[in-house]
Amino acid sequence: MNWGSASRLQNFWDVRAACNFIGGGTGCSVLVWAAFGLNFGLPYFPVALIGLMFVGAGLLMVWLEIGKPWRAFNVFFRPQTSWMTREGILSLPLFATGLVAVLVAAEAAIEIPVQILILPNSPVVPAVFTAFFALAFLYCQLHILNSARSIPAWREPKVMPLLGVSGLTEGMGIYLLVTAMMGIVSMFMLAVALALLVARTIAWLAYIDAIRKSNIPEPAIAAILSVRHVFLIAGHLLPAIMIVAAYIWPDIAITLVALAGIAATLGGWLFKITLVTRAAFIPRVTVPVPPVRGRPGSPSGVPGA
Amino acid sequence: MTRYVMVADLRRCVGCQTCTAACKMANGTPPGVQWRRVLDVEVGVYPDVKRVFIPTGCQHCTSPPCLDVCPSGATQKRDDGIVTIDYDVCIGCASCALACPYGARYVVNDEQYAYGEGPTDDEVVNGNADLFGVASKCNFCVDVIDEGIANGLTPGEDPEATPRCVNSCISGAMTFGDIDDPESSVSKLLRETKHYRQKEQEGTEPGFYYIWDGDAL
Repeated sequence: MNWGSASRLQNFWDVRAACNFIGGGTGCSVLVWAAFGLNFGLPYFPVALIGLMFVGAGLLMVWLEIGKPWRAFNVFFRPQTSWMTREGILSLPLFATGLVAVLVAAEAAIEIPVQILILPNSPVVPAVFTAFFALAFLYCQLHILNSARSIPAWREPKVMPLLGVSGLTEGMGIYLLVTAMMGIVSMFMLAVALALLVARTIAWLAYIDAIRKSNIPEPAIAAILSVRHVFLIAGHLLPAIMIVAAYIWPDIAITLVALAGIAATLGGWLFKITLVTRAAFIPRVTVPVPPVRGRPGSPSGVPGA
Repeated sequence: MTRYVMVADLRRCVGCQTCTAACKMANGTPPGVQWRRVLDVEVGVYPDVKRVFIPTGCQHCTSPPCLDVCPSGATQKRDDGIVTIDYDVCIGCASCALACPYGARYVVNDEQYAYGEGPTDDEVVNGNADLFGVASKCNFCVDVIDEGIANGLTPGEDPEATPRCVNSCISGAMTFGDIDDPESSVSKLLRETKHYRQKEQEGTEPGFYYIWDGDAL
């Protein structure tokens, strides 16, 4: 089949790029929820450290994806218009403030000897700054995907709220998992997690409705719809049931919350991998007006004949 | 001002791919990379079916989406409208390739050769190793244009200052020149014919026009 005569799957970004969106979305929102949890006396360490590791792993994956990794510093050269540049720039204060906050929290949590460093007494201020940079980082990631104008499934505007709320949900999932493993279950955080699951379901339905009404290539729609049952049931219904069950049966709440966190997170990751690697179809070439060939008056000289 | 554009007469193109071959020879692009590609498309519904050949490539847009997303600054737009890539700056992130609505950009990360793992004798001489690991695309043979202008020649009128694909076209389907010059070949052609640009709705204002009929609109 000739190039351009049918829609084709992009092959520029593979699962490594998907992992960048997974690591960035999950890690950034772990940092947001960890800072939020400080209000309720919930631990910042080691949760935030895991969030930073997710962000770092995502950036590592995209570093492995680019063609000239040893020129990676060139990524900082166009902040005026490039969301990738802005993401790269934001990663610097994100890690700087994040590491400070984690160190301070770690010092308090496990009494590590970091007194030689000039650190604040409380992780709250650096954690709040980290959360701010993390949200901005996540916002940049949404625009990176949305600015891929050759991929209709990515440039559909409703993909941005879906990816944003999915990132927040994945981060909440990891937050619940890690705190549950520390023996902590916050009923307030569970309520937030439930609200996020509802929000992601609404964003998903809005996105599906939008792509069905648009000119997105059929194979792209088919790829996205192929995961809808797993995404909605395993990624939303199941964790929601487990969270409600955790309210009802506090004795097994830790196990239920940990499992709910895993399910909510994996659901988002499945969607992102599908979106990047399976739904990224470039539409076929269209001919708005076919050429008029032949002499005027002859059958082939009729416009469009 | 000068604004270089390409005009392809779809009534004349016979799909011989000579422009593609000329481009590949001149630029030493890897296998599968065709900066000047000729699409072979069937349009219509049986029995009213037509076969259309569409020369395509970088559209050198007035508002190129590839320019905005490029994080390294490797993609630039010159004052004469030609969009270029600095292969010494590009990091090969492929953002531009995904942003281009025309599929005009290529990224080949692993070294590829026409036959086997090593380059052929021709690829040793003519292959362009700078193209591996970076984004690449048609640049309207900017080296030829600049050298021609430096020698007092006019791009689009003098072959020595004109893109190779235009020079090689056997049917005269391709024309190049300055659309801001009312006396240029492209300006005259566009005044006299019906034409369109690909994906006008994108708002990119491509510098690549397609003639489909003889009488001006």
